[in-house]
Amino acid sequence: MLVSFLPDLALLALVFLVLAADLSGEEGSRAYHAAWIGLTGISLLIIGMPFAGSFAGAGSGLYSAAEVSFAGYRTSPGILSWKLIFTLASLGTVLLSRPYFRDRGNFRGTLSKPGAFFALIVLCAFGMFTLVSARDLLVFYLGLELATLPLYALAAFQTRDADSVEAGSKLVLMGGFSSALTLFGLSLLFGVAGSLGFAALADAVRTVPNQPVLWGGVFFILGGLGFKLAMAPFHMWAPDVYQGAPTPVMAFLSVASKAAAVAALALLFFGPLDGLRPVLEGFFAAAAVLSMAVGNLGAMRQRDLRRFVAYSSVAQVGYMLLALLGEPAEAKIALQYNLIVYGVSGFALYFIMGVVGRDGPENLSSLRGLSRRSPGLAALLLLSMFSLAGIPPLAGFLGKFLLFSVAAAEGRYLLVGCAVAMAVVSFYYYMLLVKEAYITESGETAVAAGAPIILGTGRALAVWGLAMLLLLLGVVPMAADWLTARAG
Amino acid sequence: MTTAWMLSFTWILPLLSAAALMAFPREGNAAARRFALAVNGANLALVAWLSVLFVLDPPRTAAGSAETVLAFVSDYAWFPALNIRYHAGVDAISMSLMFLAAVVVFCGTLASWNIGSRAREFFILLQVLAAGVFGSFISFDLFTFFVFNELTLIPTYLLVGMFGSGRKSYAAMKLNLMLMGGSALILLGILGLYFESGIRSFDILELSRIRFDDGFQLWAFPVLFLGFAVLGNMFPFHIWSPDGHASAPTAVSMFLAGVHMKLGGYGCLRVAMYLLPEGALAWMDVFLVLATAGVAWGAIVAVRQKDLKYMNAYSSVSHCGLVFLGLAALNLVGLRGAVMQMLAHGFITAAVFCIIGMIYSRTHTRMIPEMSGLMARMPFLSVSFIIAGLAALGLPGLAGFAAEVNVFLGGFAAARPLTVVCTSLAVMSIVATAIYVLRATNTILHGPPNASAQGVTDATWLERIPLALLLACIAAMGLFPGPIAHLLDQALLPILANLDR
Repeated sequence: MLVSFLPDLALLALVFLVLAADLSGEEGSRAYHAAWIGLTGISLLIIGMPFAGSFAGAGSGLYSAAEVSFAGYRTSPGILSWKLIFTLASLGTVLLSRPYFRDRGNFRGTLSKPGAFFALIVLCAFGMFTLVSARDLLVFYLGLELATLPLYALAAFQTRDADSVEAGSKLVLMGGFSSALTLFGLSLLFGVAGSLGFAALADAVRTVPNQPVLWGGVFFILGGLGFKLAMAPFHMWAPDVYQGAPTPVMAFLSVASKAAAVAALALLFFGPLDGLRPVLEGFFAAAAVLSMAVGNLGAMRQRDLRRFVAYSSVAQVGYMLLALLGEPAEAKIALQYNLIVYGVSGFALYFIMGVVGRDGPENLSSLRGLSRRSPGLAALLLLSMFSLAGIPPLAGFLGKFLLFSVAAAEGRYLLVGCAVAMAVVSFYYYMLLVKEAYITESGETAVAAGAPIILGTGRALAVWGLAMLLLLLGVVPMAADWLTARAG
Repeated sequence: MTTAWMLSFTWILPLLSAAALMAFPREGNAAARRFALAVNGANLALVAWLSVLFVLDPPRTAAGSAETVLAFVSDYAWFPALNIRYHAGVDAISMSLMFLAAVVVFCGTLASWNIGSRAREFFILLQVLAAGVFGSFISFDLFTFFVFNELTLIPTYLLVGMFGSGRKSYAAMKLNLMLMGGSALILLGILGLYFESGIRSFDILELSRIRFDDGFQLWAFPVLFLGFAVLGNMFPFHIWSPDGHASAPTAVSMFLAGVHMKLGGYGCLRVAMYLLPEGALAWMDVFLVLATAGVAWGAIVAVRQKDLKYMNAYSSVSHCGLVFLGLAALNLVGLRGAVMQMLAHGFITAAVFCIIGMIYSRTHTRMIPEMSGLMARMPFLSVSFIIAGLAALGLPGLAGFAAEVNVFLGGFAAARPLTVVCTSLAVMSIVATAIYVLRATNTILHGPPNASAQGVTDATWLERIPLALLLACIAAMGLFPGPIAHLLDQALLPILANLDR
């Protein structure tokens, strides 16, 4: 049974390993290597873990399709899919952040204390693991806190930059507030169920669904998770925090932390609170439309790339909320697939931001003339933008398609109509970036910024790898099949 | 089996060539265009050969059957979990449009011989665009069809934005946003078809056997039809096309107006009308009026244009209106006219854009009043322009006439007052067509040569090839419309059988 928890234990060990590596290494490179090698290993471990159905003798003990649990902590193939997403997002963040610790690696200044940085990322990932593994309210809250607390420090990591410190303090205030809300909501649920366990809660929801206390609890939890998710109207913190935080931290917030919040929502409302979904459908639909509208309309006027990412990610949350209206099994696959393709498309953009951010602020005009300065980077930007906008045959299309079809399967065509209309709006602002890179070349800026960007081997490989992923995830059903096989 | 592979190869080949072009050195522009020409020539030969095979042994439809019979079929599971398949094949409609596409791509390659810098990027994008269109025409799975259709968006945006002229950035954004809006409607409609069919299938042939709920048809039909009509240039959703086509480089104008836009009319017929016949019957009056408005409005606005490209773009609005007019007749003659009009307009507008591009590269102006007496300096281009113009205004013996006659006969045969009135109005718009075509011809070709005609030369041999090919197609279609109509009827009968049930 212990084998089933191997990824979790390995991740916990990795936190200490990274800290220990930092003690002996110079300039934090050991901590970096420990972190990325460890996270890669854990990803491979999860991908390779046998599950029922894939091996003839799977039932014989190593791992079974059914849930394996230990006190308030459980795991299953479906939960492992979430964990894989968290691990990969953390890995991406670690790889992305390497140059930010180098001298002149970034225009905003060099980050220090790499050991602490990487350890916090891994710790945060462990919090997310705990969150999705929870089978009682206490572990759930523990995971939520553990996945949030390190972010406060991470957001303020650019210690000499007032924006970054402001981002940190804003996140502390907002995060603390939303934690308090969630905790209050959880305590109300405990009051209804009379027990911490999810099973008891599910029973209580089934037997007495119309208790005001229960609805109060759900209300506060939705508020709290809404903050974490940056779902409109709880999204206000996101643009400021994304803008102030260092770019790798913004990447982590927008991919990993968002994935954790989505997973928490999915596990609660497809789990113990499933009985309440029919009543909450209106709420989810309204929140989805509002998030799509706020995110997409807000993103149109942004010139700072990190703020742009913030609004675009609010919009992505809106699309993902659509899945909560559908069948649990299909919805989970759609959400997971969408998080993966959103992560890949996002990291492609963040990677480009990191490269152009070496010599200047990360805003829209710093992309100008990119197609001449570096055709490879510009092509990656093109693919990433079209993927985020959901244009086939790129990965993002399949993600959006799965989400939309989950809602359409329930006959919610009007909602899908809203979503596709909003996707057209998003197409406009994603194209603005492509326009800067390919079309706008007038004036002195093009000449001034005209120095070609030479990519080293590692970065050239990253460009190729990301571009291939964006294409393959859109046309090869492999990843979707992998998730489908483990759904449940 | 091999022919099925060859059919799929029509889109694989351009896509592979685009990948191969990426490996070319950044300065290898001459090599890039020679390579693109070779590939597109080979693809034209492939499509021509398939067309010959098709004509020799066309798939036969049983009388009264609503079952579309395809040739060169391949059918593979793509995303089995969602029942998404790669189902490719052709009937007479797709085959003839494939031929049109192959001819226009080949001619467009020759017409863009003088693209100077970044020719490599230009041809990469053009090949992807071509792959998307070829793939769309042979896909009988709605998901695959949608993917191929959308594949054209990326290259279109960059081709117009990077290589265009005038307000290119504005035009590219407007064009793509409008097309994206159309696609959004199509996606919504496709999802509806998939889930409401009860069989969770995207396959057009399987869906055509389903009788969809009337309530569903009533909202899904306008959604799908409008989605495709945006792409098909129907009034009042045509507003992207004049700016887009006028700003695009020559080859792209030829391809967008000549072929890409046909995907709209094709989708209206193949998806909206074939799968949702009750919706079509209920809504056709609305689209009939819009189509007529487009025919008249496009022609009238074209009269007012001074820029040759804008004139032809508005003329396209008018001629694409005829496609929808034919569809709205809801009878065999009208549908046949609609498809023939797509073909005829494809060849004609490609020829006109091609000639305009060549004239512009010599006179450096596209403004009609600034040119005069070109006939004396470039007789070949001028005569070509006259032939293409006469074809556009429907001179018997050329392609436009054969198509328009069917459209109008179909309209009158429908024998409903509204159809007859609308058709009469559309017939009268031919007068406006005559005005702008003959006036432009008169102004720029005749009269004393002015500054614009100083030192210009006639078309080179390389430039004569695409024009000769396009004009030959126009003449062939005008002189022998019978066999084409006969072939098309076989493909249209199932659609009509569905409409009549």
